[in-house]
Amino acid sequence: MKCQDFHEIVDSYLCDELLTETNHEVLRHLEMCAACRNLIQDRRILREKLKSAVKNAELFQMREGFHQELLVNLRQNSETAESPKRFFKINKNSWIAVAACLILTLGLGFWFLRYRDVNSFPAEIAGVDEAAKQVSLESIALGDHQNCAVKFNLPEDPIDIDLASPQYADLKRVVLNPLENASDKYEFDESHTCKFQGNDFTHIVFLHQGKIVSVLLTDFHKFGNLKNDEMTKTSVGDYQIARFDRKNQAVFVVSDLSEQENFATAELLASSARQQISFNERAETNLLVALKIAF
Amino acid sequence: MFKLIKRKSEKESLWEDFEQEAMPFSADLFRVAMFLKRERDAAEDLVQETFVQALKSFHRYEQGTNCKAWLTTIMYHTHYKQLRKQTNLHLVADTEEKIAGTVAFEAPIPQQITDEDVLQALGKVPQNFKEIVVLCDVEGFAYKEIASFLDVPIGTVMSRLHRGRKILRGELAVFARNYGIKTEDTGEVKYKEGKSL
Repeated sequence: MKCQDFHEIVDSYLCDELLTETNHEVLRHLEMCAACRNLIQDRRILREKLKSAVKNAELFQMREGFHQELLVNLRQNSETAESPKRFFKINKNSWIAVAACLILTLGLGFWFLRYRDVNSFPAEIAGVDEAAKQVSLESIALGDHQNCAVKFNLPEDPIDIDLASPQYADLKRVVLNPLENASDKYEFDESHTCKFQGNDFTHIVFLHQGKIVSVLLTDFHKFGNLKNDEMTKTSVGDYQIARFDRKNQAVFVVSDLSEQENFATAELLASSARQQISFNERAETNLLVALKIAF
Repeated sequence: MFKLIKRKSEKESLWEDFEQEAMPFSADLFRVAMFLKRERDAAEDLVQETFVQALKSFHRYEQGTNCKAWLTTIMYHTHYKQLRKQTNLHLVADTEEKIAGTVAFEAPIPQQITDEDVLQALGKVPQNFKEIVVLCDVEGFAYKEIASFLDVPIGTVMSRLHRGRKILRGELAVFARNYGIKTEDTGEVKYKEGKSL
């Protein structure tokens, strides 16, 4: 190793980030080269001085009592908050309850799949005042875009999607992949779950052509669904809202892009979602056959 | 009644684990928060919010892994979210290229340099570089961990660390000259009145 080579990796050597073999080469070089030994010594001294200067500086010390206040606040928080941990803990005596739940779930699943196949949802769920409700859900999605992605004006803080639940992370992947692979550039900005006018949204924000684009997913059960493969577009002021449905969710693309560009973004997501659903439906059909045999 | 006691004991045990694993890092988190917020009240708020979030998702923390790095990741998430709320700005311009060529020489580190000198010099390092120098040299995080906090590639961490340290040494060279220590830009040894090496 030459001095020049050493100078190139001296920072990583100092941080102990080199491979063992490279480390050995460095040590061999240092045995031979006094100049580099001095250099590394200087750097170590500076590093230690920096560490002690910052750690001892009054500016960076917590004020007296802060740690205690923190403990008290967190303690109160832990007492009022529900512990998610306990949902995953099952004691020995709960196995019967778990088995009963499983049978019930399978039964309901069977019922759901069977009735879904013959397209016999009860009319009062799917059909009543659908047009009015659809408009309403779109206006709520637009409101969420304006108050969450654009102005940060929500009464409740959004929860980061990774912290919210692992299943949302999966959903994020469903939306992220098609947009990241698109020929037009979509720059991922953030993803979270948020609440607007009582509706929970999974909210993924992109930047496209310098504008904020919201992809919002929400349960449409209260509002009614679109027909298969149907897509809608609506303009409200400068905003464009495109919608398609994915299983039991409405997916909105809301932005102030042009009508054509906003709709193209929604089409991109819809085609990817359809592919996923057809794959899942094949899996469900297999499950249905298996359940019919079992019952 | 038995279930109630059991539920309480689970909460109690979660809290005890949290207190034991996470709370000892409050001082470290506060230091990082001070670098991010540059103001005591805002730093305290950030630390508090970080611990609240950490407590909420503590069931996802894997015991035995690096708790300080886990907490710092949450702190950065929280900080960026607050920034985004406050400003609605997206940082796109990077000052790295502008700064890259401004520091030209290596200076030896004089023993006489005080903590105040070091802090003053650190204060002159641009924020992008300073935070990586602090995370690496003061807090002892690995490249990989820093890359994950800042959501940048490891190569960016390495280059910013290199430049940050270089700028810091450049700033300290000013103090070195004041102490009468030779620097490579002039090649001369200047002795300040009343000082000796």
